[in-house]
Amino acid sequence: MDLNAFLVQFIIGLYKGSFYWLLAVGLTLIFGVTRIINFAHAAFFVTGGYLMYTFYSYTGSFILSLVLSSIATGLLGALSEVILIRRVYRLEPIYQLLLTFGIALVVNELQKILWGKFPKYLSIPDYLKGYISTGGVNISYYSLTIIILGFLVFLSVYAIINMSLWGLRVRAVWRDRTMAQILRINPHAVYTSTFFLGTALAGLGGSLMIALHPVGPGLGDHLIIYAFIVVVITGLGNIVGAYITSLLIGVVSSLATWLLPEVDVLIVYSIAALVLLVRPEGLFGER
Amino acid sequence: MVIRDINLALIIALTALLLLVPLTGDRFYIYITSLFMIYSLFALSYNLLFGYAGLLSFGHAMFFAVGAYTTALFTLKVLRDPLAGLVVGVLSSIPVALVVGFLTLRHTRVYFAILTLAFGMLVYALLVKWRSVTGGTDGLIGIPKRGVVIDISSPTAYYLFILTFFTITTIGLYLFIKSRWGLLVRALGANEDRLPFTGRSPLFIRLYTFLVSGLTASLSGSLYAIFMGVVTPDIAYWTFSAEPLVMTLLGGASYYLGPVLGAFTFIILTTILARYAEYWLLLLGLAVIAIVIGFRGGLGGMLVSTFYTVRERSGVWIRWRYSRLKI
Amino acid sequence: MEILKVENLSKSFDEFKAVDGVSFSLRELEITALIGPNGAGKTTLVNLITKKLKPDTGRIIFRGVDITKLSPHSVTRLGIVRTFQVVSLFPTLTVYENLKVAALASGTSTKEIEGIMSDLRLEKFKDTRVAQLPFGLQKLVELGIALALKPKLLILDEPAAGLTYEDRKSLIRMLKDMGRRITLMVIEHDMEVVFGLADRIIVMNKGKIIADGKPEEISSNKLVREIYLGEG
Repeated sequence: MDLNAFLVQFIIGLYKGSFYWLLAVGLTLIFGVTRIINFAHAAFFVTGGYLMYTFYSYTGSFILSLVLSSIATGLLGALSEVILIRRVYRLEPIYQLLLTFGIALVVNELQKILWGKFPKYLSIPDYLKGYISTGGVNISYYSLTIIILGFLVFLSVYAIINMSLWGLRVRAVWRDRTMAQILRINPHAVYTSTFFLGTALAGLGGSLMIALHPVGPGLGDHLIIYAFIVVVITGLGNIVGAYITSLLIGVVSSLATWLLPEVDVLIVYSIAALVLLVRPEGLFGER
Repeated sequence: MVIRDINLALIIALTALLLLVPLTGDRFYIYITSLFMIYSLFALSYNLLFGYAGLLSFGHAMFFAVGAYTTALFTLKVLRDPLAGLVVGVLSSIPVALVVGFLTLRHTRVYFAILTLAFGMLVYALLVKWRSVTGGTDGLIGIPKRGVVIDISSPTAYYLFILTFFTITTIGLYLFIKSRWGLLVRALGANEDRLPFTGRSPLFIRLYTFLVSGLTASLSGSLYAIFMGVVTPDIAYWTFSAEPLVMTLLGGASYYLGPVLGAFTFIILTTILARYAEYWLLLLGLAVIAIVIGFRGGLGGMLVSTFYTVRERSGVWIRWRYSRLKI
Repeated sequence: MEILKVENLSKSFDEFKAVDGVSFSLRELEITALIGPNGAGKTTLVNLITKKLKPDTGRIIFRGVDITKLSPHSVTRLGIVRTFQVVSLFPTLTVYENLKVAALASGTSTKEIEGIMSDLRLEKFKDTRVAQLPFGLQKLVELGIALALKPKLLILDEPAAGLTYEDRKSLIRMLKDMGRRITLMVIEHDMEVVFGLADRIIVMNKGKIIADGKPEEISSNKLVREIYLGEG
């Protein structure tokens, strides 16, 4: 086995995994706090990509657009929570899933209307172009950036959840909603802000992705599966586990595509099914 | 003959209506109505699982695809006959239902939903990757309508073929729901936690419901394969699993014929409106949202409440006439 | 004749010991009341016996059969039937259908179901959806389901809760009558029901049995009085 090729695939796996992480972290946060599985989450990821495209064409600045599109996506997520999702907290989980599914449909279609049916893409900004050469392997700066950013997001989310005052409230609501209310924590504020954060991170992911991979209709449908697989293998509700699993899935699927292209997709789905069957709470799950 | 049960009456009336369609001779109508019947069966099978047993599945397309592909493969490689292909297609769902069901049904409803998504996509991946057998993304073509046992190549012939199965299955499924087996399924959906304390195993009930639902879905898939003559992997993609869900919701999940009404509405929306409105999916999404938030009874619910309102307002005479009907 | 034997049953939830080494036996056709302050472990004990929960330690023997490892539906089919404190019916099904579900497991005939419905005076509501019934009638349906299962040991979890004075009186009458044919165990807080009904009273507190005997003995028991009137 060619070590260099392996390394390349490994790095690819890491940055793919970082994308899965950006997608999964919001899903797991939102579920942990609101107990809602947000089917529209992947749609928002794609929205991030589209918004990035638009902001970039207006501002010409990669970093600024990145920030703007993430925040804008977060706001959209929060908006959906306030206007729609809030109404179904009392309903059975099935109806909540259906609502988010409906939202996903609407978001996908609105995107087609606003940005057309053909995929959009951006090129990597000049200051991030180029490669590092180490030991016969070329690693692009951009993929490194993504991996590093993913890691930073992990650290930040972990820190915020476990060390900040807001995070404390989030954990309280996560553990026991009623108790938190008795302690005068406003669950609605927590829910909305969680939706904001989770969706913003998904938007960030989409914004980063557009420079590597065209963003178009159908991308959301494709990604949602991976998001679910990550979250479900990890076990809903575990941040550290989600990060590790995302990277694992990224690496495994990347290596599978390289070594066994016939069955690459099958391997991921099979692993997911296997894990779930053996350990339904997920590898690191609490529920 | 007085039919006391309104659902049976409606099914018979619907069949009578459907019998009229081929008389118009219009190929488009025949095509659309055939599709309607196939989707109705698919949606009915879905609602058995969802509306009656309370099990939401995102992988139901798996059965549809298994039925379709098995029928296709059988008629192309083994015996060139649509009826034989249909039978084999339906039977192929049994091992799938047993294996997948046994693995997935022991979990809570939420995990079940996600697991069905994973398994459904597993089937999709299989269909795409196994080019030598399934034709990959190109699929399989040339599924015959003219066979050794029967010949249904003319539109009228295949239409009646589909209609026969439609009526038999719709009535059969209804009788199932009315039976003791069906009562247990409804109990499962109503209060699963109570079942063990009434002496029944929820897992067992889930299993046979899954089996019956799978059989029906595969039947619709097999009919589809014969009807279309072509099968492609997209009938296994998870978004196709969402269609019977939407149809059920639209028509009303708590009424037996709700999915049929939903399938009808869905077909109208997709074929007719799609010509004029590019963004019919948007309307669909909005409809789903509206239904979940406001009208969980779906169109069926709206119809029924309108019926009751009319009944109240129309005085004693109508009240007496309709009092014998049970909805 | 011993119908149920419980040996050293324990159940903890994390740190909290809900049931702590409980042992007792129930005699056939004896009406036993299980009382104790809230949180004493009464419902948990019943959950353990009916296998809603798995015990951490201990054994349960019913009519000579070790049921410790059996599933709830097997145990129900063997004859241990319980009702729920918070009524747990099949809301979208009718009264008749609720009983029918139970009847399917126990082989009860349609005639017998109708008999139960008339005993409980529910025949008028035979085809009414249970969700539309008032609370008192729902409690009766809960009882009806239990009866339709042809129980050998019937455990009732707070059957009198929420009932009016008259309803309670007829409940006592009904249960006393039932007690001649079925072994009963009743968890109750209402002392009138307890003393009007029980042949034997078991008192629990903090997961342990602290008293067990005839009603007269229990009412004069110092420990029991302390718990209910003193620190309770």
